[in-house]
Amino acid sequence: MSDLPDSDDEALMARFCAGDARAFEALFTRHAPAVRRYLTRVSGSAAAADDLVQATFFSVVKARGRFLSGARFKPWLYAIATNAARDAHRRTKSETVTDDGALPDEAVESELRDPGLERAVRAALAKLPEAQREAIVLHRFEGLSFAEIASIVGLTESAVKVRAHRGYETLRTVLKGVWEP
Amino acid sequence: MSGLDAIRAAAQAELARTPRARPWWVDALALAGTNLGVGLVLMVVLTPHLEQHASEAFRQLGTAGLLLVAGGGAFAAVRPGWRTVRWSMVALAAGSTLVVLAAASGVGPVGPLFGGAGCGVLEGLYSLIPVLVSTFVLSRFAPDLLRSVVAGLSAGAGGLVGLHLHCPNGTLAHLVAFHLVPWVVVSAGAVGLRRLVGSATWAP
Repeated sequence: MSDLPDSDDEALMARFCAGDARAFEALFTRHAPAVRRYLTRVSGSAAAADDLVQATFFSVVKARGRFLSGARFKPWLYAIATNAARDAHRRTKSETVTDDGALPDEAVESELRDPGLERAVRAALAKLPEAQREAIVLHRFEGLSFAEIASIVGLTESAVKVRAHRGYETLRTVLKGVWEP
Repeated sequence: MSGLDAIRAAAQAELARTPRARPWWVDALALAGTNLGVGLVLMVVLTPHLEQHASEAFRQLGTAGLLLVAGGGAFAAVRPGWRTVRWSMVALAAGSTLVVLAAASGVGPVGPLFGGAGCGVLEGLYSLIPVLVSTFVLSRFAPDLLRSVVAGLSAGAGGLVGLHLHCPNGTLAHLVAFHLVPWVVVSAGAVGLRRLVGSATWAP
């Protein structure tokens, strides 16, 4: 047990697939808060995000036999979370936004400590198409590489860069002088 | 109990319900076995009519291509990753189609549409079980159009092999209208059915 916290994600996943429930516990503890933050940002609702986090980790449990040895865990996890969020978005057919078109307060509980800046970023993110928002949140806020995002969304790295570039351009225009994404 | 603690407890309960991991190849084998089983049973049971084919080599090549789509397509549809292989299976299906058409003898018992509707209906019936199995298997995956297309082509390929070797009509119009178009319809039906059925997991 004592070696679990130091193990990398892939080693934990291998142990989990081999039947070690403690490895799942370690993976959950390590990633669940970040996945929840990501899903809150893309769904715009903390309550919806909790449902999506549950769907994500249920999927990890049920589909762990499909995790390939040699693959990286974090892109796989975020691919699941992204798929769950997209389905929820399709089913509701509308994003949860406030009357002035911003994501609600809990959507961007970020490192941005300035409430005014947070509000501005929320409003700007809400204006982006879903695909651009996914690319930017995964890249800027979750720290994934474009190659990892490409494997998550099933596109080429170039296509993801184009999406992110367009999104960043929009954010730069909207947030000019306020925040440099 | 916080939100994440509740989710952790629920996930642990789910883990207790499914203590053993299910490798991806179990589903792939089930799907490939169903598709190839249908094709091979039809090849054994149905009386072959080889006058449809102008060339023995093309007949064998077309049959091999379709069997590869039926079996290999099942693995390509189910295995994680392998996006390029899935596209290759679509290309192989298109190539097999061209071979089938190139081998058309032009020999038709009573004109090009003889037995036409029957062939189309039979192909649909032959493909019924593979389509249902592929829908069930793919419902364990997050929705993926390319995966669904490959699974649909694969599900229809077994029945097409049986039809391809059994039908005595070798006219081009008949092969297009009542062998190949029904294959596309079966594949499209499989894609549509998959869209109707929900997903049990969101994993790719």
